[in-house]
Amino acid sequence: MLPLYGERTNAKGIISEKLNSVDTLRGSSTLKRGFAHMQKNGVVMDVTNVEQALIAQEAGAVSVMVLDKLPSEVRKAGGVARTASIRIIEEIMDSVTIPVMAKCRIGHVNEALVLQETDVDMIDESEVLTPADELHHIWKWDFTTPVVNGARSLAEALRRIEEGASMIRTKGEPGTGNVAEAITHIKKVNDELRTIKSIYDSGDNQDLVRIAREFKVSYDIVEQTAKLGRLPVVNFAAGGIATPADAAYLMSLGCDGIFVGSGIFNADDAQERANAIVLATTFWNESDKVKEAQKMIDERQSMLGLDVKTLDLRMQDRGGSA
Amino acid sequence: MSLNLGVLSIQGDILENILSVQSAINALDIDGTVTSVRTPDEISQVDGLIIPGGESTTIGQLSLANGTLKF
Repeated sequence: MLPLYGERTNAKGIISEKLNSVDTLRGSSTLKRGFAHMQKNGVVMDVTNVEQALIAQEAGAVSVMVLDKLPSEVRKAGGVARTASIRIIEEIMDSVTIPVMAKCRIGHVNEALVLQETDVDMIDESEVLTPADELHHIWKWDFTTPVVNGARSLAEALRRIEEGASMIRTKGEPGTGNVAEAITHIKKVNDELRTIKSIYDSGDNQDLVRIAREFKVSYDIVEQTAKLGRLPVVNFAAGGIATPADAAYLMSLGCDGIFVGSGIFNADDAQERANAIVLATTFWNESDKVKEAQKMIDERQSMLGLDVKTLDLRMQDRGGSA
Repeated sequence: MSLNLGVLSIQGDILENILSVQSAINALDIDGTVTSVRTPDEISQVDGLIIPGGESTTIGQLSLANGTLKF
């Protein structure tokens, strides 16, 4: 079912207009969150050019995410990472039939508006790019285009949903090829969901108020989420996924789908790996199929992973306190 | 005679489709079941197949690659 908790019916992003003399409504919560639902059980792949986008489509990705540089390259290059060239985004939109998403900087309203004007299918307000505003995320209710946000905990996820995020991805550490952080965070979110569900089931409303204060969100969204026992929007896993087995494990932890960043196009066997990760995500609960998928890739051609403890730049911390 | 429906479980809103059909069966009080199907064998067992909303490009390609659909 598609719950619409925290929905704002008077949001600026909702536009009613006439299209071929038919009344249409764009930007409603149903539509924006519904788009994320159409992505469920799929793999969204980071791409930087048309060639990679076509490989992703061929492999069965549900969407491509356009960036200027892959997360691991952003990590190496340093400096300020911004949204991708509009020309490249348009080229990719013209050459694939699957949806095209693009990243903008955290809190950079006008970068997001530029992407909305470009008609991308979804905007990712992403910690991979350099944050433009550490204190405020974009007020996403004002957008007609759905926006996905990263989160490391239930509190962060609910804060983003209250700002109008139509989809959540639990963050890992981008550009590392190390899935450990993604696993930690999805388990943390699941654990917190179980906690608030059991509080709700016990009927202790006062304790839910305490949770709402601790999470810095409204009581209403905590109560509704607790009742539901899961996030009220689609939740994907992201950050550090490099192999089919990584993808299958995250699906088994209850994620609705997978974002793969550097893991595919930084490996030397990008095409096989893209195929294999899609296969493992679709058939995550059939271990023989996951094994087949894992067999398609060569560990010697995987990207060299990074230990998160040794990193100077922890992208996952960006915008997390807001 | 009971009505057996299948939801093609490759990609998209699979769970929501199964839950909606289940609640419709309960509301109409008819004799029926709904299951998730993936293989040609499973598909041949059902009276009707629902292809859920999702990415058609993806569902099409994965169904072909895994022998769920034959053309």
